[in-house]
Amino acid sequence: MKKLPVNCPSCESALVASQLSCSECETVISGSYSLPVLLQLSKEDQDFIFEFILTSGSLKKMAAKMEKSYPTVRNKLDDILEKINQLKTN
Amino acid sequence: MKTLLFKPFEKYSEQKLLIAGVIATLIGALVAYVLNCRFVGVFQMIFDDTAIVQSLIDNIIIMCCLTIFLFIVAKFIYKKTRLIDIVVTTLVAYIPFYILPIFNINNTLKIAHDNILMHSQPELVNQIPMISLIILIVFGLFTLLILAWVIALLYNGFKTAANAKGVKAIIIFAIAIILADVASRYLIFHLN
Repeated sequence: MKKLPVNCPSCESALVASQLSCSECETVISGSYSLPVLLQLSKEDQDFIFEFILTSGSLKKMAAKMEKSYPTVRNKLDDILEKINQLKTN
Repeated sequence: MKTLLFKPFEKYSEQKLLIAGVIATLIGALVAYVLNCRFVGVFQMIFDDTAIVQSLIDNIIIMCCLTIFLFIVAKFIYKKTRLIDIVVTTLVAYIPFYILPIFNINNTLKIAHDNILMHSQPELVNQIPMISLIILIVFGLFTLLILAWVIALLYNGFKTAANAKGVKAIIIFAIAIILADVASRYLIFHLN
């Protein structure tokens, strides 16, 4: 799966979606759409959130699944929350 | 292997670490008693004939002091810090220190130490037995390595428990372990 670029490789500003297209009828929509906050996170952070939802939000289950200790998983979640808050304020 | 030796707190559950820490503390107290050593502060070991109960009490005082001071500063840094994570940090981080009494098999260190003290006057310095000097130098260097290992373990456990980052956390951690050392020496000295 291709990695979605979220920052400009030239100036590192946040990228926006300027074109969307239908793969069936080839309709193209142009505009300027900001990427959702979750999509602006790294692939690793997105995977973590995905796993978090799959385990019904249980950090203990996640820790067992990831073979990490509970505080390590909790710290990771807190770091992601901090990133999300930063992205929301930007 | 690196994780097991330096960052076990990132990988292993608190139950596993607690069991390992409690067993190691009991064995450590027993080994120190059998080999005539005592831990009389977080960072101090002396040669002394003592009862097994006293050896165990010494270790419990050290663990309590470390846990209390680290928990207070951890809560200050990060409100979600759990007591159990700090308890396992102190129990597990102290394990390398239990290797040190092994150097005193047959009172080797005590004899070397006494030999040097006996020749401590300026006119007797030349008569210090070379073997005693070598034993104490090797032990001193090994102790420094163990000390670095213990501090690395303590800091890694603290960092994981308190989600600590940056220079401020390192300074607060250093103050906490120094205070724990002072408090444990005071308590062990005054409770005997």
